[in-house]
Amino acid sequence: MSGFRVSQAAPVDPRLAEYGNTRLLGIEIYTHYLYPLQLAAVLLFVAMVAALALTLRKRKDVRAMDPGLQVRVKRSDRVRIVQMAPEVEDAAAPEAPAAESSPGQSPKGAA
Amino acid sequence: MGSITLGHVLSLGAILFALSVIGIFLNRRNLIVLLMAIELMLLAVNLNFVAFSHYLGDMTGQVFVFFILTVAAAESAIGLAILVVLFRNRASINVEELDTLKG
Repeated sequence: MSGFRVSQAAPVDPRLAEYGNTRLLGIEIYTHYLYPLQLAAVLLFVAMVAALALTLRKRKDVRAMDPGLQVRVKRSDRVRIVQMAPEVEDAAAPEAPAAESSPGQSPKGAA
Repeated sequence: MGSITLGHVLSLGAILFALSVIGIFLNRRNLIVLLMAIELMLLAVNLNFVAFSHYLGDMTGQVFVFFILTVAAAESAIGLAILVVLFRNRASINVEELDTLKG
């Protein structure tokens, strides 16, 4: 080894002059370094997943409904059937038609 | 005007490396600029790899540069993610305020 000739131009490789640097690099990577290249791809994927997992958060300042909860809702969660005595309207009462025909009120109030 | 020699490229790499070192010691405030200086340091070393690869006529150095770039990309991705989490916790990326870990 005669040392690096720092101030002289590098000798031009004949293969480099024929193929060009990019093609030589591609040949080198995809033949001799294929498995390290795959390993590098896996490394990039792991880094991407790690970055997403680090920055993922559940926001607390938005009011969002979980659609799964909406789908899973049961009838018993919404409706409760109670037993009560029947309310029989007195047909003979004179006030009943007058109450129904009044415009402002709904004909059936809160039960 | 001669062609670009090995000494030119090595000088450029050394200048870039020195700039990044200066940047790290000069900037004591912003964590993002600190990460950028570290990346610049990696790139300066990469430039040395490329220069010697071209000088020796061996493509292995340039292949190695690619793997260094891969690792640098992964490192900066995770570094930025850590930075985001840090900013959420502390509401600041000021280096001087990150002194809760007293040694």
